[in-house]
Amino acid sequence: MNIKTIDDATVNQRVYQLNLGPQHPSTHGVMHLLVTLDGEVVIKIEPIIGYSHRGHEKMAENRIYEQFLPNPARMDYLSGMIFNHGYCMAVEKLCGIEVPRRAEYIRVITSELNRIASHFIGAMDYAMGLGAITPFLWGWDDREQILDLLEGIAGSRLTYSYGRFGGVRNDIDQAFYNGTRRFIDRLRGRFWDYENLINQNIIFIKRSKGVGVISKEDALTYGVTGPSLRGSGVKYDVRKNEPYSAYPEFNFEIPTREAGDCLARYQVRMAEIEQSLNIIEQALDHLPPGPVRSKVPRFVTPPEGECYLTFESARGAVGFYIVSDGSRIPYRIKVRAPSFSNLFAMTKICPGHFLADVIAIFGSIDVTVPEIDR
Amino acid sequence: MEVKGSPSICLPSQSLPIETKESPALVGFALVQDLLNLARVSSLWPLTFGIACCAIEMMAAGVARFDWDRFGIIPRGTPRQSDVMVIAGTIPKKLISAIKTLYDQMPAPRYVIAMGNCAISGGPFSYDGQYAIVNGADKIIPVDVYIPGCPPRPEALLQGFLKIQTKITKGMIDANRRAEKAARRAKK
Amino acid sequence: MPTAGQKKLLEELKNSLTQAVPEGQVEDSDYTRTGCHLEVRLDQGGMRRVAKVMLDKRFYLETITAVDFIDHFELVYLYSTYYQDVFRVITRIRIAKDATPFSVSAIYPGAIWLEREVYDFFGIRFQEHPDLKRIINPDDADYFPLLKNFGKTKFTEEIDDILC
Repeated sequence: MNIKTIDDATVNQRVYQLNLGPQHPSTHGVMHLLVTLDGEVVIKIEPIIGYSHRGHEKMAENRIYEQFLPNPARMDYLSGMIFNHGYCMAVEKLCGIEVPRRAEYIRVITSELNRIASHFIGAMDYAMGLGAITPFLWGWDDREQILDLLEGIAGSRLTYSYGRFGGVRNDIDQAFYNGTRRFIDRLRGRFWDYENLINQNIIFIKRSKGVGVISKEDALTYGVTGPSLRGSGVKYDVRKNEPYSAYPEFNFEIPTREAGDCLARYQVRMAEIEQSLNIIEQALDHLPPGPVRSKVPRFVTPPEGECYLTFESARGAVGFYIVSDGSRIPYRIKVRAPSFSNLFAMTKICPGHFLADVIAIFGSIDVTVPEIDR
Repeated sequence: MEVKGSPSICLPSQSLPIETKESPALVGFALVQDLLNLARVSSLWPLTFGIACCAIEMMAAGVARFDWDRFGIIPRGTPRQSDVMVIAGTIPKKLISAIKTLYDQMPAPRYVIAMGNCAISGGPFSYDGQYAIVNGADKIIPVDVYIPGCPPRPEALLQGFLKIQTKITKGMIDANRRAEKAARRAKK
Repeated sequence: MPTAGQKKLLEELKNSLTQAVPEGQVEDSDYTRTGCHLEVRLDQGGMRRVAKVMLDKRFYLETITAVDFIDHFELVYLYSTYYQDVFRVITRIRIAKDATPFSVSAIYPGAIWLEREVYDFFGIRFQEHPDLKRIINPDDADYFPLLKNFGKTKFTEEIDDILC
């Protein structure tokens, strides 16, 4: 571990270093922030990552494509379903496998449900980081409803392996269909509560408005994506800009805010939950009949070559770069993790803020540590 | 020994209930240690230290639906106030020293729960050629309860806490620790 | 199918890239198969000139990675854009095993971490990088895990000895 102690020479100076983490309640996992402070003002911040490194990319080189299927969900466990489908899409692109339309619709429905669940954690954990406990409990309560639905079809609460090459494992049932409809109604009725509870809370506003502004220029040079980017007024969403799966068939908007501060990022997340509900509703209305899995050999053998596939997780644009040498084992899989770039942008925006604001900025960017470390 | 009827608390080892033919035992004698253990079981304070996926299920166990406050389990932010450490996730080699430090900072008696397959044995990430992780929390610190699952459901975590409560009241953990100490002394 | 805006941008970009790196090959790539629209192949160096062109055209750096082909490395830079129609440019640079390529972190600050990651996993040292050190693996590690010949090393064995 890289803990630095203060020696006698530095004690008398104004500038000192503070270790935030690896164990800290508001670092969302094992993250170590080495903060250089002048009094209470941050001069420099250096995230030290790697405390959750599990070697996913090396693992991929040691097993066949099917065996790697459980791993993507464990990289970003909050949007595991999206990662799972994304990996399947990448391999399908590499092999040229067609996916039935019904399967694409099911992928969209499950992905969007997962996105709502993830945004609830992101937004409500952020509120808790600022001292509000109630929204946290409410958000997790709504999230539990989603987990029940997804558990019913995928069999797991968090780390799903529901996608298969060429479709999904099993069809959705009537219970899932009715449950999702009920959930949409329930959640729409609760937006007013969240609005009252958080958006009009003076402490919340004061601590997030104007804090941690990411400019468009910084976003570009640091490669920021996801809600953090849309909070800065850039209308970029892989679902719209580079449509995949069945997304072109749905009518939805990309919410953006111009301010670029913590409040804007929070507002984008909450607005995206509404848009996700719209997508799910449209998908359920027009769910096509048919099979959910195309005929795919038991073990896929992609041709020699490589492909890059990008998709939008709850945190930004994820990319799977797969190099195949024509065998059943991938030659190299590289995952572009959005949290990695978003976290590095934090080192640029934090200096000049108070230490307490670092927690707010960190919460509003909403990173998942195992995704950064992989 | 089991004490029937009122008082309904079950005092463990060494207790001497007074029995008559008609009525069950009314009074039990116990060691101070047993009484302290009895007090401890109802206020197990875990350390908020999540490493990976299991941490989310640990948080889920703490909020609305599962609500571990019912069992007197209140998460604390610092190791110095907590007595249970839930190892929720994979332990990469970079994190070994941090976990050891946290464990050392916790006041005794301290208990450890290994939550999830990664903390038990490395789980899905354990394979020949794995360079990054430790195959199980018990390679670093003593573990009292193992909870399988990837990740385990919150109910399973609650079951794990109940198990640790049972172990404490039965004096099993004290006995284990004494045996460990004796073994260490014998080794020297 | 590329849109009209994409086609125009493609031609513009091709011209500027050919001017910037005359020694490289700038080719169209089949988007439906590879996920990229334009491919730039270089034998060594030139990554900075490409990066400058990309920044002028308002592209963002998606990721940097490397692939170990036993006898040589291939550095892969992926650029995409927020603003116009979607467009992805992949730059592949073939470098020798002991080469020290130039860092693009002066042009894209986001590359500081991405290059540190490449160094951490492949041992490729970037020249003129402000802070080239390990990022994910432990500071005192003596291995580069994503090399194809990576097995157990002294470091991993030592830690295993301590643990078991």
